[in-house]
Amino acid sequence: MQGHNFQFTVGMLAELTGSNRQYLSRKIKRMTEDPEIRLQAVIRSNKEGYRIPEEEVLRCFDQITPQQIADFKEQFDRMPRVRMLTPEPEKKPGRYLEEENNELVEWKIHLASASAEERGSEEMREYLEGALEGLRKMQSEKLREQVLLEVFLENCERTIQELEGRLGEWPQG
Amino acid sequence: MQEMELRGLMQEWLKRKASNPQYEIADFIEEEYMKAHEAEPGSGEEKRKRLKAMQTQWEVRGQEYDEALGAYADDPSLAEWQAAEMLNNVMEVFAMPAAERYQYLLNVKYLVSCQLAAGQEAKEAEILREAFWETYQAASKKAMEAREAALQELLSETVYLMQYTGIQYTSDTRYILSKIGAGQTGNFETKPSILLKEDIRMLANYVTAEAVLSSEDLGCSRQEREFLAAEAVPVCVAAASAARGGASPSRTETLAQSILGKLCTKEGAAVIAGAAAIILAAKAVVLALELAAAGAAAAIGLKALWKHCQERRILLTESLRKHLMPWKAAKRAAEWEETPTVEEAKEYEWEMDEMV
Repeated sequence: MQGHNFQFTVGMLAELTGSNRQYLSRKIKRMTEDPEIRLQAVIRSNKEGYRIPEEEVLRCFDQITPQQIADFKEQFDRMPRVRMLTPEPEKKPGRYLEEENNELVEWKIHLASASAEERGSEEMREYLEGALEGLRKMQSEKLREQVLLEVFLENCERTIQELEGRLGEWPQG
Repeated sequence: MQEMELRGLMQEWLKRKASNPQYEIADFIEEEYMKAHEAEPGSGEEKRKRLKAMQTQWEVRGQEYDEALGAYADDPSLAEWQAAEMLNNVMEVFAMPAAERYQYLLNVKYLVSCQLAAGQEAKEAEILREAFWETYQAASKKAMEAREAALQELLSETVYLMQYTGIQYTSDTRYILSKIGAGQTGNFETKPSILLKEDIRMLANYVTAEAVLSSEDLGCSRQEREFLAAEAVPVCVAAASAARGGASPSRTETLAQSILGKLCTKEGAAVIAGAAAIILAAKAVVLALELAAAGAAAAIGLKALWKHCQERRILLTESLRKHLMPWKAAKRAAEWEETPTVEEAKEYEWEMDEMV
C-alpha cells in the first residue's frame, strides 16, 4: 500500500528555500541529468512542472533540513490526518481550503469504516469511482483558480510598482 | 460495619482500570479488603489467606450457578480479532507511517479511557480527564520514535480497553474509528461487556460478603456468617447478574433458591433467613454497581442498603428509581424490581429518600 508521501512542486520548493522558480527549475533539471546525483523527479506535463518526493528533496538539497520540511507541512499541508488531539475542540474559524481538504480524505473514512465484505463490493467500487470523478472535477476547478490567482498576483505586482513609482516621484516638502 | 459507598467504589475501580488496563479486579478487591480490615487483629498474611479462600468459593459457586442456568452461552462482546481488524483497517487505508500509527492508537486509547470513566460527577470527570490527558500528552511526545514492539504493545492495550468498555463490532464503531484516523473525535456506542460484568460480579461478591461478615445483628454466629459470605453470596450474585443480563428473573431466583436450599440443609433457621436477605442484597448491590458504572448520579451506602435487605425492605419504588437511574438503565432494570403492596410503598417512601 502506498502512503501519502509528500511531493514537492517547484513552487513549494521556492517558498521553502526562498529562491527563484526559474532558477530552481533549471537547477532541478541539471540535477536529474547529473549521473552523480540522479535526482528522482517526474514531470507529469509541461504545464504542471516537476514533482519531487520529500526524500529526494532531503537527499539532494543539502541546505534543507527535515525540521524545515516538517515546519513547511505544518504551515501549508491542511490535509486531515492523525495528530495529537487538542484539549478542547475549540471553535476554529474556517480555514482556507478546509472543505476541499476534508473532501480529500472523505473516501478514506468511507473505505476505512467498511467491513471486509463491503470493502470488495460493487457498491464500494462505484462509490470510489464517484469520489475519483469528484476529485478530478475539484482539481480542474482549482487549477483554473490557480491561473486566476496568478493573474491577480501579477496585477497586484504591477499596481504595487505603479504606486511605488508615484510615491518615489512625489515632490519633496 | 465500615461504611462503603458503592458508587465511589465502582468508579474508583473504573478509573484505575482505565489508567492501567492490566490491573485485575482481584488485586483491587485485595487492596480494598486489606484497607477495610486493617484495624482487626491478625497478621496481613492471615487476612489475605481468608480472602483468597473466599474468592475461590466465589468462583466455584458462581460457575456452578452459571452452568446450571446455562448462562453466558453467547458472548456479545467484541472479539480481539474484530477490534484489531477495525483498527488495522483504518491504519492501512490511511497508509499511516509508524509515528502516525502510534499517534492514532494513542488517540483511540485516550478517547476510549475517557469514555470508560465517563458519567462521573462533573468535577470528578474533569479531574480524571486531566489525568488521562497528561498521560496521553507524555506518550504522544514519544510517537516520533515509536518502534514496532511499542506499537504492538499499544495495539493490544487499546484492543483490550475497547473490549472492556463494551465497544461493539458495528458500522458505527468503524465509522468513528476511521474519523479518528482523519484527525477527528467521536463517542462510541457501548454495551456493558462480559469482561466488565465479570468484574462487577467479583466486586458485588466482595461488597455483599463484607455486609454479611460484619453484620452482627443477623442472628448468626461468626462461623455461619463466614459460611454465608463464601457460599451463599456468590450464588445470589450470579443470579442477580444473570437476571440483569436478560435471563428470566423468576427462573434465576428459583434456581438460586434451590441451590441455596441444598447448601443450607444442615444450617439453622437464622442462616436461611440470612440467605434470603442476601438474595435481595445481591440484587441491589449488582444494580447499584452497574448503575455506578453507567454513571448514575446518586451515592449509595452499603449500610443503609443492607439494613433494608435484612428487613426485606428493598423496594425499588418509582421515586427511588428516578433518583438512581439514567433513563436508559431504568428501562433495563424494570424487569426485576420488587413490587411493593400499596401500604408498604407508603410506609417506606420516606426511608428510601433517606437512603439515597
